[in-house]
Amino acid sequence: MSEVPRSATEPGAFSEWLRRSTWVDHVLLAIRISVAALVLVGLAGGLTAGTYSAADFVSFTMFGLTIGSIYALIALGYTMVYGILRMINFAHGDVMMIGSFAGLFAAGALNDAGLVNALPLLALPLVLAAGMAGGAAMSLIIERIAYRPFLHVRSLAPLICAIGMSFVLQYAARGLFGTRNRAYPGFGWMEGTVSLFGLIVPIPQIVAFIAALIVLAGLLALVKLSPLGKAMRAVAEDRDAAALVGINVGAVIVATFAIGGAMAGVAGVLYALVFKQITVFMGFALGVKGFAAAILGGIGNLGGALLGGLVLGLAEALGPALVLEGFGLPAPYQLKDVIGYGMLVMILIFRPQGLLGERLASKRA
Amino acid sequence: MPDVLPPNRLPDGLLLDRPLPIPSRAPLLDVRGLKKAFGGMIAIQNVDLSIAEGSVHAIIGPNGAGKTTAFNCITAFVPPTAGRIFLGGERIDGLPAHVVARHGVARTYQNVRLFPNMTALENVLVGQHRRLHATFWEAILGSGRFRREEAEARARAMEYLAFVGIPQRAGDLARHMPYGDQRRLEIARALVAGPRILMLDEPAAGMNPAEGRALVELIERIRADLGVTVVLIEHHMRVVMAVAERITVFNRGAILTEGTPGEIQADERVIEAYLGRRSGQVAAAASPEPQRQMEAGIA
Repeated sequence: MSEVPRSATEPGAFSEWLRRSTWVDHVLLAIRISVAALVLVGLAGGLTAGTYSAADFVSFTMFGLTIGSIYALIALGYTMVYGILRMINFAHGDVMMIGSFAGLFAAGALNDAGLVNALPLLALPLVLAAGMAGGAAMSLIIERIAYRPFLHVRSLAPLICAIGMSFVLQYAARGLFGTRNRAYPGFGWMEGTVSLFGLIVPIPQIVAFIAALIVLAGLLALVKLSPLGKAMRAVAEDRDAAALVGINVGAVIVATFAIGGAMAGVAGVLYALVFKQITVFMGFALGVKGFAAAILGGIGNLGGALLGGLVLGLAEALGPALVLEGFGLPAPYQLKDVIGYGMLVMILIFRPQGLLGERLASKRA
Repeated sequence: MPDVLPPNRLPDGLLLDRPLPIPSRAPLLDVRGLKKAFGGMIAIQNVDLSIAEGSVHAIIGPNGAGKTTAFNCITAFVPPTAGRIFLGGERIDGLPAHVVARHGVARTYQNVRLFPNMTALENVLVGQHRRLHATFWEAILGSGRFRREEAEARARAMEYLAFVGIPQRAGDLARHMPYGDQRRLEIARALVAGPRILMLDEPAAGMNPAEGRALVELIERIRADLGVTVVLIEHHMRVVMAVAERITVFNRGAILTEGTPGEIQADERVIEAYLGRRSGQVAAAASPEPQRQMEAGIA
């Protein structure tokens, strides 16, 4: 094709775009504009309605950060496994559920032993440790059954196996633990609220947020600093080359699943502390939220999982009041999942690489 | 390129963590009756290979002769169908790839396989993976041992980057480096673990004559200064004839012949394997490149 000479009557960028674009681009642009318009209209309505005070918004934000940090913990498991295996672990949400129940049983045992009341500050770390152990153990079982047999095979079988494992776990748990909602025994000191900078914040939210930050910091330090972290990066970049410099690839994959499972276990326990009740079917919805957070931040990217979790949590917490309220909907908080899943769909359409991009896949392709 | 270091006199003694092996003619790597079949397709069979310790041994042969398959079997990258592989008298076939690597078998790839999103320095640090012993908690808490190991590993990595001639690249991402430097980096990553044998798969591919000469010099130093036995697959006959003590010729999945460079150059069968029978002028005309290479090597 010969190059078109640039003339004085060079077409503008817009007509150039019109010439090159297809109807798919037009539909996508229309969706973009309508989503933006909806959000703006809702925002304007929500801000002028005056239903909520500034203090309300701050407490929504606090709640968003808490649930966001729980999403981030779940998202890390998805993102780590994806980074190393290029596979989504669809049973990860149920790993979280198992971790949550492990925490429940530990808390029950500690309560029976009277330790929850005698040593309340020690009991919480023990319950968290039980959740981590439960999540890690479950994650290792899933790796063993659904992923290891297919390590050297290029197939989608692990995904199908993981979905199967998810149902097996849900219904096994239903048989073993029952369908009713369960609640952790009360930790005396965690009842009630504290006044923070003039705001009333429930203690469990603060505890969950801080615990999540500590665990996240530990994980990032592990990956950035330790030899294991270096080996994980190497396996993620080129599994064969990693083996040939002496890295035990199988062991690194196992460690990745264990760490991801432990993070999910922590998330399960923290969720139980904040929301007071757990069920055997909680894993599915929270798993999808964690997955959405991982995609939102850019799957395969640890910092992205953290950012995606917090953004999703904030959007869910603030969205109903800020945006949905503006349309005069009767019960905006019933619709917070619309925002969460809507964001997942929008991200997949408009920015599939996520907020922080996916370094690994881009160079692999 | 840095100046050539006199043998055995290395800066600060950091490069070597063991005495230079006394060159012996006992085989370091011994391959017996190696066979690899992919389904019904036999890639190699009846491969016997004996690599003397402290030698530079070249493997040549037309494309598809099974050279890289033999490498892949030896490094446990693919499991052999039959045969036995010994390293220093110890059987290594059947071990997982990372264990074979830990026994002291290092390699590079035909198409460079670095960790593209790591810097050159990080690539070489990963190559020292098995040398690091600090635990997770020591790493997190920044214990003395962890910091000492890290510092040592970095110093060692820099030594090896300098050894292969790319110290200025330490901070560059591997994927941003020019191809020739990537090849050198891959060699540094392979060497830093302190292997007994280094297997280079077409190290001179895509190099110009000057780079080829530098590569020959680097291989000489790897053998002389580090005491590492080198096996290389190579098509550039100039490089092969300059550097190899012994040459094994592969053809159609089996060993055609083995000998010194002089013997190989005089062997009619080798030229025939590359070019087809003398009467087959068409084959020679269709692929002038090997002929040029052979002539260059022989000249």
